[in-house]
Amino acid sequence: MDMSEYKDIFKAESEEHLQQLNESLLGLEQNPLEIEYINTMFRSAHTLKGMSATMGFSTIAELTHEMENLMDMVRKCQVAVSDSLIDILFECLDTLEALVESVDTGGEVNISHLQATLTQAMEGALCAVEATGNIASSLAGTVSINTQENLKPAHETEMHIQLSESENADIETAHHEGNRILELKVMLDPSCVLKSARSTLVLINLSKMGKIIKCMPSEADLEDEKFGFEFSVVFATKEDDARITEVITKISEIKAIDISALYACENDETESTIKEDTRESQKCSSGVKRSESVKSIQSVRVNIERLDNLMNLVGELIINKIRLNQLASDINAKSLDESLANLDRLTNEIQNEVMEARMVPIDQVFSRFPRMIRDLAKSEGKQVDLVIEGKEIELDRTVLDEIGDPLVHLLRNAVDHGIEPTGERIKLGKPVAGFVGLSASRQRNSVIIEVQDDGKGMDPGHLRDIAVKKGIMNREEVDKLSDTDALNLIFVAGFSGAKTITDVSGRGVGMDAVKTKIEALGGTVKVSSVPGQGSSIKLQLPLTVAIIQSLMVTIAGETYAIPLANVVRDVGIKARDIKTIEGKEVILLRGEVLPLLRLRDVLDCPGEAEKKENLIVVVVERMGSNIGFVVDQLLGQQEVIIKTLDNKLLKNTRGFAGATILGDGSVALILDIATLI
Amino acid sequence: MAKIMIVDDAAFMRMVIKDILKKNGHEVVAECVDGLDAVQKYPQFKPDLVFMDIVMPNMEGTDALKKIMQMDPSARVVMCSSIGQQSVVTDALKSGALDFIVKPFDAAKVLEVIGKVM
Repeated sequence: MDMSEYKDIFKAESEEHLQQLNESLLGLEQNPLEIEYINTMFRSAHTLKGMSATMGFSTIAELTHEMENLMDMVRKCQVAVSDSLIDILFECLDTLEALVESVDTGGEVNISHLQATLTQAMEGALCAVEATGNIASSLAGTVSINTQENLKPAHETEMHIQLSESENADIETAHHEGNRILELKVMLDPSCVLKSARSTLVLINLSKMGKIIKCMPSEADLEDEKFGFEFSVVFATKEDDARITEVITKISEIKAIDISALYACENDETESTIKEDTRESQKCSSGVKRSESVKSIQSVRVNIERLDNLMNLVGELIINKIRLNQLASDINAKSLDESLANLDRLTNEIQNEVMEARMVPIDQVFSRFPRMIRDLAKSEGKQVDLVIEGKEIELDRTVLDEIGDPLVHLLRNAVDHGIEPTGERIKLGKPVAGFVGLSASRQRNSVIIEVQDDGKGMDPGHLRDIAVKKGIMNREEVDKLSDTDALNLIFVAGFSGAKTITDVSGRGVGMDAVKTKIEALGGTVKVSSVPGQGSSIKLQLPLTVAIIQSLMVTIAGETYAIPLANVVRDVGIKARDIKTIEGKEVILLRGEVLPLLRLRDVLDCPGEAEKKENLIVVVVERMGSNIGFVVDQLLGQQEVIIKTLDNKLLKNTRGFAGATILGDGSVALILDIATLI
Repeated sequence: MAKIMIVDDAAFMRMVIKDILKKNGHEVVAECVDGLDAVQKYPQFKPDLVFMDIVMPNMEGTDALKKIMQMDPSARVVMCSSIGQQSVVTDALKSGALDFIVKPFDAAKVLEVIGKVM
């Protein structure tokens, strides 16, 4: 069977289970007695085992199998939840994550060390259990895939039929009632995995046709799998051999059945037939509390590409609708009004529905942070309480995919640079555990994500000093900065607030990269901080990236869209006020030197610009500083639907975020300020 | 051709089983995400056969089996188990499950079981 087509869904679902395992394990660490966490982990490990075995990923199957066994022992109170156990399990989850990840690449992950640790954890517990004299049930829990073959076929050798008095009496009675007394030898297929269950199925089917007088080995041993691949039954029945053979061989994994008549019976040895209570362990596991009220959600998985296509088509539809409106007004066709109004309403509804369908709860990103913060705090010897709010807030999938890394960076900063070491916190009279808050909230058409901490905060004066030391600005310049602007220095490329670069932060993306990323999404970043009390970084993100608010301008007769997120303001200037510094045009605006760029030149438009005295300048913000774009004409604000330029021919185009189609059917390019200059 | 209901909390497993069944001319009339879902959907769809996973949230397969057998003593339920669950499977068989398959299974195993219990 070719399983490769299932790889994607396998990965996606495995990742969900891993997330659930991580969350439960974090919960368990906080509250080691909460049975629901243990049960959830057991179930997830079990499900992963079944899935990976089906895919043929034996390493994942082995590891999850052992985790499942360990969790089973935990829930039966045979293993205590200790710090070391939690650590082992976290290591398991990390390894599993790597294994699931390597499914595509086919890379090998060595798990033998981890398996040894797991076995040790279980064996250690076993010894303890043995001391309390409760071995039987725990043994069942530690049979791993590999050791299953090692089970001794204790009773496989020749079986003598030894009947007890009561069994003899049973035979007597059955014989009198006109039954034939048979000895059945049932042989299982060697590929049979659950021998005990298979033998039970045989016994159930037999008991429908007659009376089972004796099993060899005993029924209890059969259920415990204490037999090889065959067992015998003394059976009283009125059915003929052919019928019995038919019924039994109809059961899967039965290799053969051998029937022989049994008339005489020697012997009088008494044998106790007390059945062990094999159900004991089961009772324990089924006594688990469950919530019965959970309603299943009707949902389907849809490839994100489909949704992108759908969004694109809706965009086309809207553009055509706008054209239609324009045409209708051009020809003054009043009769079209009503149906056009309907079309308007319907396209708006479709657009909203598609946008909703692309929305996913922000929890998909947030959920990995508790684990990250825990590890981070542990490695730095700090205590941190992460408080997450608003994880149900929904965001466009595309936006969500992009904010993961920036948030990781902000949270790392909060723990690494924000929260003080425990000793220092005590000295300052702050709570021992530092507070890191991560919250999401919806504000009209945007989502606000805030990362807060109650750590040492940022000192504007200190930031000014760093800026000077790093040569970003000179002393005179920094002294002119307001405190808010000084805080914004952290977003300047090449600026790192860390006194020493540690393992955790101060590598990978910097704050400038965070800002660039958020702005590329059409969002904004704001920082505030009170020295000694903590910092807060607020990200404002658009709900969707498919539609953006733009300022429409014309340059050399062409229409262009400038994303409103980049626009600071527009101003009219006089050509005679333009000065030059080192050959570059600038203008003094509200006491600030504003570099000017003529978009006509930047975009290399053909033709000459007419010499005008009154010029229109759009001031945009880029990397923390302002630039003025000289444009020909302002057309006003408009919502535009982005058509990305990601096909082969255009994907390397710089300076444009995409294109949009205007109501009159013409195309306008959307400027990407970050790559334009 | 049989009308079959699949009960498994893993969408992946449901997909694998469903594809096997559909490729071999069977009709999947319902898919359930847990035992509770199965108990609710069974009377609604009256399937000829149920493939029932065991370890699931909200209601385990063995409990769902018992509830379904109460509703319809002639219900045909096949348990989908993993290695290491002999006692649970044995219990399920005693409660009326007709057969079981062990993960990982292939198409041949699934079809064999259908042939045997139908």
